[in-house]
Amino acid sequence: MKRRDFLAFTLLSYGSFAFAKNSQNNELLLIKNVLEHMFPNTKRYNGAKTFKAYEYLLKTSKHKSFDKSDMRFLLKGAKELLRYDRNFIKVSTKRKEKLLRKFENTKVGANWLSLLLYYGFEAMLCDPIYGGNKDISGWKNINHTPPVPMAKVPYGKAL
Amino acid sequence: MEKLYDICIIGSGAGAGPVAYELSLSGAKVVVLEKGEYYKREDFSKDEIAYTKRDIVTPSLKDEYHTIIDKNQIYTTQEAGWSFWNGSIVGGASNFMSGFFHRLHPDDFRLASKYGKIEGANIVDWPISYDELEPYYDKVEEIVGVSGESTPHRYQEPRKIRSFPFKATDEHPITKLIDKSCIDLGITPVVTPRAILSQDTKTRKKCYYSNYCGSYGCNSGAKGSSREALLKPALQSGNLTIIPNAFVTKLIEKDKKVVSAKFIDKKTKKSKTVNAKVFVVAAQAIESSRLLLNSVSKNFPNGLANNSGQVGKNLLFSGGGIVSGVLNESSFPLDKLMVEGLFVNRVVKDFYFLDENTKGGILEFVFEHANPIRKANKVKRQNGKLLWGEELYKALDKKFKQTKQLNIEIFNDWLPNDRCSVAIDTKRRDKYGLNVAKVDIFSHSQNEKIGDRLALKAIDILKQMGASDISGNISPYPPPNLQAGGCRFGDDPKTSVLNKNCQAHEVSNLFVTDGSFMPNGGSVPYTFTIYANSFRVAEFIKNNYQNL
Repeated sequence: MKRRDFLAFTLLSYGSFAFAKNSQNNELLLIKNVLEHMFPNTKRYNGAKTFKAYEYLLKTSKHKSFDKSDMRFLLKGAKELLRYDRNFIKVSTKRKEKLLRKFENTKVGANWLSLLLYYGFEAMLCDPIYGGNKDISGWKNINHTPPVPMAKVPYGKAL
Repeated sequence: MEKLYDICIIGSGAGAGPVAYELSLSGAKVVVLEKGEYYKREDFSKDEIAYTKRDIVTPSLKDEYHTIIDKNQIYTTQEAGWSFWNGSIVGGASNFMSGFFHRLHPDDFRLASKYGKIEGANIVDWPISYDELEPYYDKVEEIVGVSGESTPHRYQEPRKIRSFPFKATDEHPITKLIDKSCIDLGITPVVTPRAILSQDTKTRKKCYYSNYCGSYGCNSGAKGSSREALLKPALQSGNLTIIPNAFVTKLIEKDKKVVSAKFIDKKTKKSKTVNAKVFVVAAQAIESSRLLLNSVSKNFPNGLANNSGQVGKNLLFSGGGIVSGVLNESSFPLDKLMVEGLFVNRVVKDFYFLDENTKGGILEFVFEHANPIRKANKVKRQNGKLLWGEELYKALDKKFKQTKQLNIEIFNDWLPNDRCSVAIDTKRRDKYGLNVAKVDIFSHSQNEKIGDRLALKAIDILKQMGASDISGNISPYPPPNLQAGGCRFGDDPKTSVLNKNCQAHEVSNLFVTDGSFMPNGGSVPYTFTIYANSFRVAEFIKNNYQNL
């Protein structure tokens, strides 16, 4: 792993993680909503809704190579953010911005937002085979030339 | 009766390939035991997620890790998220190298006698000279394939064959600005020799400048990996067997000779053995020492070939770090600056020696790698605040559309010392039940001092080029991809593990041919010297393996 600029969160302890649990629906919805706030659709940029950030995160997190502690932390952080405002998803963009900046001032919040941004970048700029970067909309954002060859199978060789 | 191979090689990277190649082509029956999968040329892609963001071609740190002694702290690489694995597939880390192929300087072979001792560093002369290794550097340039252009400079190593077998790779327009800036400062820019083919051969296609080279496998066969350049032609001989997913856990010794290698078939989880007349260990420095230390027997209670206590000692990494600067249209035309894929292809060697008594290093120019996820993640924070929304998009525009980051990678000697070493962690085991390696990463203070002096030279060049946002990171922490030492060679069995032929002093049919043999690493990446030395040792084995 080459992206561990957020080691502090490993000091926290997390509960077990399972996607299917209804109790996590609120947290997952919040994660989707924050991704869309961080990566909005604009005139110049395709945002999280377009490049499918949330869908990518759900898909990649199920692969065996994904660091499961990351998803546990994302859910834990989402739960924490909901304590700031249970109706986060429904409040105005301005209010969301204020809440996120407040959350950023905490150690957990700063790490959580940083990690979510990271997975937003993965979703925007990965090979489309992973379910993000839909129709190379993410690569178009930054004028990135598609590499040759692109992935024929996800996660390296088909084993 | 179980099959008896002539040669059994543990590992398949730069230290293994030349032995497999030379011995297979000479008619010996060779088996390579590789811990990882067999990826072929067509299996690779330029997939940033697979090759740089997940543990696909390296073991998962959850399953296999190292214990690190960092001054007074002890932690595992799993806890730190800091991997010391560098390519566990057939061909090893050579699949993923950038391929800067610089020879050592003749003085690197005689540092102690020419420059004297340094307090706290175990500097010794090599038991061989540059002249003895030079023919094998030539051989690597020809067989593995090195593209370059012989440029005269102050500390140029002697070359009996003046030209390179392949012309230099195509270069990025920025080299014009680098050349001018260096010359204005009285510095000589040198064309970087590179283990990347600039021309087709019968079996390998020339480089197609994909923009994704370092950290990625090569799809044209241009990169001189052990797999592409050596193992593939060796397989054609019909004398080479490659067994992937074979994790060697112990070498079995009898009467001071190795008789078999015990390995776990990672697919079936079954334990198996391979018998051979000669065993060659080339698993990269840390793991080679670990294997010998874990191979305990009655004759070798402290580990195979380790009655001297020298196995694992004097481990080397590379000193140095990176100085970077940002270029934009104010210093170079934007359309030319943004050209993708071509190599920067410049190195400065004027500071290989800093004065009469001080060894320096090299400055290698390279654009920040293409990896867009990594690059985007680097701009997410400004002035301590995370960016998102329009602010983030502006930062991404600047990073990807208006600027390019030029890095100057600094390589200087990592001085061997009593602390930097590999031992066995008797308390921790990997998922196969084998004790993991405990690595003390202690860095001699001189490593940083020299790195800092070289960084000042790099800053001067970047300023002269008109770069902005110049920053440097010279660190005492080791780059895990540049490993050597641990089984140094020498004439005295009390102070070295291997003799001048990289044959264990105490075990006549055991050789170590990765970077472990090196008493010091020089101030360049090690792969070229590992290849050359492995060809040298292969010749000895070829002439003697029936009588060891």
